[in-house]
Amino acid sequence: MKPKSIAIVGAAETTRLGLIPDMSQIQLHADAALNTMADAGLKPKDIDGIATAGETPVTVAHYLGLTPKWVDGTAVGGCSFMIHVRHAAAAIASGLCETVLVTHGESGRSGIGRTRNVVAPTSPQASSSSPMGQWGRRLCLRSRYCVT
Amino acid sequence: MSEGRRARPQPTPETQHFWDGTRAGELHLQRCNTCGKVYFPPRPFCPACAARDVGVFAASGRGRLYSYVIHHRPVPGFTPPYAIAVVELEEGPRMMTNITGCPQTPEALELDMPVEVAFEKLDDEITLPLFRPARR
Repeated sequence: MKPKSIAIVGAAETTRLGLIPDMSQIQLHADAALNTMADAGLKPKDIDGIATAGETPVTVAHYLGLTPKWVDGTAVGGCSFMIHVRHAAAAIASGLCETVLVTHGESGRSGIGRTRNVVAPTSPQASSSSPMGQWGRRLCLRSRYCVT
Repeated sequence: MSEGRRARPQPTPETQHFWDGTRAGELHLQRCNTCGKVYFPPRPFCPACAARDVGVFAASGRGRLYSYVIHHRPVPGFTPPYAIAVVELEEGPRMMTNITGCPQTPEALELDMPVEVAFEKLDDEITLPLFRPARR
């Protein structure tokens, strides 16, 4: 990849932040995406790649009116979106697409239109961690000192 | 009818107007006030030009049978065979739906035949927009 050959040309958040009970999760994705497109001076037809997690890239592409030739639905937790940026740069560098939209949206407090991560009850996580309190486990792994 | 029931949509703040419409016997579409695009499903911006200045209007409920398949396997809430269809509305958008009020056969389901909306109440909140052969 040639240095400085790929740039972030727009970035934005949702129009409002905090408690937003009048927007669903997919609309939070779209609201931030529309603000980003406005920031970059781009229209849906200018975007030929989409990357997202939580929602599927197909759902977001349909909702926004995109017809991407490159998609990435890598979902590996909260760092997914930084990985999307890296994947997007690699895709652009290799000529798979030119302009990639990366979206995130989470109706965390209002819970409107929220997708759910389903973990099989037979999985290692559900068998050995979840019964002990999943969030506690995460805090323990992060801090080694879990006092909550 | 097979055991169980159809998948039930859950309205969101962005789609509530559509379900309020079907409950009142109207098929609501949206039109972009910037580029004029008429679109479906509902969302508070234009999927063609990304403008947020959009409106809601009651569509004619008329369209043509664009495509369909006849499904023969049992699915909760349906009695096979039944047609899963795409209808192209007079105003432009295409919707996935079912065709009611006629035999579910290739002979009765002629491509491009005129159809009209036939609302089917699922419960007090949700009414589905199905279509039937036009009575004109």
